[in-house]
Amino acid sequence: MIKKHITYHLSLIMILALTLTSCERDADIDLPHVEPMLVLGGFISPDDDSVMITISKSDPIFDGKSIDADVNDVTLNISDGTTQKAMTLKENRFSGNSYFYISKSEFPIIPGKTYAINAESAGGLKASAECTTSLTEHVDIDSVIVDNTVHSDNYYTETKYNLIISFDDPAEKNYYRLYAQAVFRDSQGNIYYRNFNYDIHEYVLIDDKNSNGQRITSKLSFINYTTTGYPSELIGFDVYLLNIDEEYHKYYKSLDRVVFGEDPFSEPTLVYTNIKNGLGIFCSFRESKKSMRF
Amino acid sequence: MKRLILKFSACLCLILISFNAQSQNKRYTISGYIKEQGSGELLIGSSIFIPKTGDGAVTNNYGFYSITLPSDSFDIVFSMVGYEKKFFKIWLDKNITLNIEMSPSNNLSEVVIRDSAYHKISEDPNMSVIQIPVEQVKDIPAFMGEKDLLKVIQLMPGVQKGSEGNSGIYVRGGGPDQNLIILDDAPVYNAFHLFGFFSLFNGDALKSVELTKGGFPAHYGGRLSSVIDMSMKDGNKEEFHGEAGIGVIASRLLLEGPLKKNKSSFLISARRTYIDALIYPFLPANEKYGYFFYDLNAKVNYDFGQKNKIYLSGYFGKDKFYGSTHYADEQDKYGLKWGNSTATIRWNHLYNNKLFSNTSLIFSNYKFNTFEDYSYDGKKYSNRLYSGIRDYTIKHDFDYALHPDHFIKAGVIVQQHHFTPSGMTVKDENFPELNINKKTTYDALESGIYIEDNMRITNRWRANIGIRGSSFMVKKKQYYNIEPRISTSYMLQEDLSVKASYAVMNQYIHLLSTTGVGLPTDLWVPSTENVSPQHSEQVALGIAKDILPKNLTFTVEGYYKTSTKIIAYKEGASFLIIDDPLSNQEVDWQDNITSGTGWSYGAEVFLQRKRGKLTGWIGYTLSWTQLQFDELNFGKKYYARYDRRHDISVVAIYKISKKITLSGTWVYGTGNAITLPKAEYVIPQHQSGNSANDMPGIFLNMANDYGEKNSFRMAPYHRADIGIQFYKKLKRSERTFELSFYNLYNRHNPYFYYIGGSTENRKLKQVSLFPVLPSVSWTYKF
Repeated sequence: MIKKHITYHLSLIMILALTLTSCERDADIDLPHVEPMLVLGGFISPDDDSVMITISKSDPIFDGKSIDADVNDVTLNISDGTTQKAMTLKENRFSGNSYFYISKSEFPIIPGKTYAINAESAGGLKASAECTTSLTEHVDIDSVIVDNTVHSDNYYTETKYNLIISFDDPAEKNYYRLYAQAVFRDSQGNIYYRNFNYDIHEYVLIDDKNSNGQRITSKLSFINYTTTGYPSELIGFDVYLLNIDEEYHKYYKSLDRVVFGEDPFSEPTLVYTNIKNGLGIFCSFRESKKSMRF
Repeated sequence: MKRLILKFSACLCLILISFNAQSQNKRYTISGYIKEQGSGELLIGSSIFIPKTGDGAVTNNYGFYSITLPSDSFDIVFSMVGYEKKFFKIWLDKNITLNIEMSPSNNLSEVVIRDSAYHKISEDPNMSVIQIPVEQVKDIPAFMGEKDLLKVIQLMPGVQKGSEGNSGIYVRGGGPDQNLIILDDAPVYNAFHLFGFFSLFNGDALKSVELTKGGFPAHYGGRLSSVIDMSMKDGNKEEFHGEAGIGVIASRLLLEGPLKKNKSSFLISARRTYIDALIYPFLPANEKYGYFFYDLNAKVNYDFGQKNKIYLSGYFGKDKFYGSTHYADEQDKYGLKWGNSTATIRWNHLYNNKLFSNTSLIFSNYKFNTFEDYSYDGKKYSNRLYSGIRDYTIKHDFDYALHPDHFIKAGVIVQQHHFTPSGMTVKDENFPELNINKKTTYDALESGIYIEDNMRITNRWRANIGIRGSSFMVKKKQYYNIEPRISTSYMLQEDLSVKASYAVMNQYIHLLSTTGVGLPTDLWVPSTENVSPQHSEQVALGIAKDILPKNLTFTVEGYYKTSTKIIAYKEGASFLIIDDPLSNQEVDWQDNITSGTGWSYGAEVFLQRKRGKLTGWIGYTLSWTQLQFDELNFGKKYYARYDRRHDISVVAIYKISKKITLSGTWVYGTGNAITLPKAEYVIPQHQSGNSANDMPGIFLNMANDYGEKNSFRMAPYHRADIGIQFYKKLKRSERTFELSFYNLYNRHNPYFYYIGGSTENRKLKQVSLFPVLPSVSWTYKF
């Protein structure tokens, strides 16, 4: 709240000061020619039923045209050093975005192995990446404690749930991504899921550098707003603890600065990439889940 | 390093011992104070010259000089730029106290100085030092007519400005936090008004200003890049005088005069902007907002005689933005304010005619805070966010004029810093459980001890050799450092010398600054267990030439500076982030920063003319500045935002007649290195688990591909300003009318870029701040 007030006031003052005297025009500097690049997103795990690699193209900003979004001309192969398989291009029916798919039975992910992906478009765009699934162990969630506080008036009720999550960190270097989903039942009895509120942080990234080999406790918060006349019942939470590799951690750490960096006074954030000649990420994780029902 | 320091100390001792052996001949000392006739103002940097022996001395910051010579008869010449020279014949058979009064020179004719009486740059062992001509500050055209000392300093080679209109100082690749700005010994932590568009110093109350960019003498310490040492005027000891000025945005007033004739005087100087008062009647009754800043300098002194003098001086300044809305059931008041206050008590004591001491007790405080008081239906909400730094300092310095060949300075300084990087109070009557009252504070003790010898080794070879020990204690952590300093000059021929210097500097306090916009919200923080002191080493090599027949000085210097453990905000981090999005916990500023290394190197050319009808200078800087931080740009080296390949300043002041002065400046600088997006793309994100909010498992957001950090260059910056001043001598007073034009040829210099245009045809747009801006000011002096 305070952050928003200050941002608002400072921005207002700056804008006011600038508009009083400023003038704008097209910039007269030479902009370098930028080609589109392939954007790959692969988060692979021995625990998943399949491998999915999202695919898109970057859109050069100053080329005077909007992107040719078509990725149907792209092929992508995955290899574990001995076996190479072509993945199947699919389209996400909700978002219209594309991804490559291969099932576990066709191409299993095995801990300790190094995987490579190679993508190529008919137009000559190429991108590749490598990832070693170094994580051999699951780290299980040990306990989840939930407390809540309620504010209400005539129109709505605001309930804040704090989830205190604990687990034991193994001796080696580890990174984690911790998040949860709220589980609801609507008036027809259908179950649906909601991610934790964006503005108070959907997930937590943890680096065990200060607590290696110790018990780690972290917190996630969820605010449930219920309005009179729109009943829906919160029946529990599903908590996910992902034991992630260093690349995953670097990528999400840079990404979170982008996602949350709405602050006009901060430096532009460079998103980490380990894709050669492209953008995006190819990394691995292990997953543990704990379901709680009230 | 330790071996080097030991050798260095041994050398210093040997030189002193050998000197003592020679000094058994009968010698006597001439000493005293040099004052301005008519005002009693003590003159800093006046030159004392003995033509017969070639010996000389210069008055110190308190107008005192001392020179010891063998018993003989001498001619002695006292001189200073802008003053009539004084000549004396002396038979030296005992110690002599000789206080001098020098009268300002009003002669506009082209006096050619052919002798060596004036302090010559080629003879000074120090390098990378520029005396800022305070009187010229008033003649140089200024933005909105507001004379600004720091903007004049920006016109010197090796010094770069940040962005359009900004007073921020970047010296030899260092950041604005690496400059030690001291006013009568008191450090000034935020030297800017209105987000850096104006500095605190308009020059009215200043007597002398010296900029040191490298080859730092041992008596300075605590910052890596530069020292701007300012002394306030003492106030006229003989007559009451005043000066009033009205400008486009501010008015100012200076009063000075004796409290007890020739014994004690005062000076008070004030400035305030009035845009808030002017717009107030035009604002709706229930909605008010405004901005103002003010400065107040004050000084009193008492002269107890030759041996003791006491000075009390202070600066107080404040900026405030405020707004308020008033409705029947809803009131809101909000704003932000920041300000410095400093106070210094100084006691000059003369132990004997060779040993001068100054003891200072110093207070300095900088505070920034935002405020909001909101009430709705009688229920109140208020918040305050604040940060600041407060210092108490004690400092004791000695000047010992041991011999014409050895001028020793030594001293000790102890500073107690109290840092408040962040504090916050929230009071909410609707949700009392959300009330907050917390602050982070640090107390630290910084100390320094130094000795330096300004020596003449041979008739051609001079050096200033010194050593400084510094320490910093914060909580249980202690840092100690030894800083060797050396600068030396060798006369190749008359008026031409080659110079070299080496300086190690440590900086124990840091400014966390969001780049790009000079905000008062930048936080001063100490070195801690986790944040090491910043460290730099600088070598410089140059030549200095006095071209006496033309009244010109010419210097060329090359430098190479490495700075280690310098700090910067991590990407995406800034002072506004109070809670960490990753851990959902309050952010410790130490987690928001990253430390790295900087490399700066370059060359500076400076041609200056201080006397005559036409005065001014031409400065050119060729420089490179690169940075490397593990957590920025993925650990790769990149060019600093203010890396400037070419920087040119031309300043000319032409006194057409006693009634008219014409002045102009032209600046050119390579564009800043900035980060701009090259492309945008859908960022892949990962989520296992169930589809949430009826969306599939993988969510899609857009991000920019910036390529490498600071890989774009803004368009070059250039601008010309011109001013004309008309003086009129009235019966007992003088008035000046000035007309000036900022950005004379209306160059559209980029302030920042943004992406505009339609979705299909995006274009890089530039925003420029100031077109050609005329301004007028009127000054009345009595």
